[in-house]
Amino acid sequence: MNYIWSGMVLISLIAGAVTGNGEGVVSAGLEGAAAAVQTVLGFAGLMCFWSGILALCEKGGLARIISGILSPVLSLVFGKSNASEHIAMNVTANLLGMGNAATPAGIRAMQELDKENNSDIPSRAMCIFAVMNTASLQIIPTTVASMRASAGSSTPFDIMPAVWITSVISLAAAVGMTLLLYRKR
Amino acid sequence: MSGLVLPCLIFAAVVMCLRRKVEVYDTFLEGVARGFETVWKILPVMIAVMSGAYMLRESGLMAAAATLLAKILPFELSEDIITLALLRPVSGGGSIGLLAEILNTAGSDSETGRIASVIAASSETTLYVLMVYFGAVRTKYTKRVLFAALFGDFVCVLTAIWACRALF
Repeated sequence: MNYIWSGMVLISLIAGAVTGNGEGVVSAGLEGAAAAVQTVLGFAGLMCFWSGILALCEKGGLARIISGILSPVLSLVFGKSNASEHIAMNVTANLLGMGNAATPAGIRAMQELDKENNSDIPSRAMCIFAVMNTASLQIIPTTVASMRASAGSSTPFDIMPAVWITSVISLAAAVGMTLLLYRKR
Repeated sequence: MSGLVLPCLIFAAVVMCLRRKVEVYDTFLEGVARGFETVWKILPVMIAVMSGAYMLRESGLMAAAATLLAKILPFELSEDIITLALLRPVSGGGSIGLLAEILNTAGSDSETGRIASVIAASSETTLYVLMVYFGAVRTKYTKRVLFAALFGDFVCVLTAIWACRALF
């Protein structure tokens, strides 16, 4: 990000100078900053509301019910392991869009899987689990929906079916590729 | 379908908390505070990225680069989507900033707006996740994991385009 941002600014300034629009480029930067504040304030309320509801899911036990439903499926993929519970928590948190909860559980799951791995390279289960986390599986895309609402969408959640399809297919592709690359020998 | 999921989810969450005698209001406030923390963390990144993006756009270079890529691709695709697809695995805040930009300019209910939303919602900041997850364990991640994860991101972009064109 360091180089990306520096590159963006430097290249724009050079191009602006070449085309004689250096001043325009600078004022566009200021305009962008103002637009960013407006955008963030626009979706801050929705974002906070959903975080509140998700906290209720966690405390009220709805999150645990979902993780109970998931664990048989997950143990098919990962087998019996000390990491099972952490994996179920991680997947549940991901599904509900609770990034804050997903990461700690995910790291603990990785550590448990690593303990069960006797090799110097990451085990297949570790790779599948990590790849699952890089291919977000989200039921309710709260952040994106909030942004859509603040940009004037009348039905900000209407992308959900498309998000589900895309999530499942891209997850399958990533996990499938991992399986292909980490065939049991 | 999505019209039913959300009301039911909120309803169930509150009822279950009440049955467990959880302090519903305080818990909600805690969650809100956590959400605000996230917003607060996003803000500086958004300012940085959006000012950078605006500068790049004003300079005319972004349009030139994306036009080039759009010509190479075998199907029609907006330049904004190409840029987002390239930025998504590298920078979470950056792609959120760019998504906000796309939604504001193209409109959130336009095809481009929808495709961009689906890409942003259905993928993760791949490099960051791998760094965090494999940073916590003894074995380090290999090129194979990275390749598989990026392959997933690539499929995600294609599927998002297809799904949006098929569904809307």
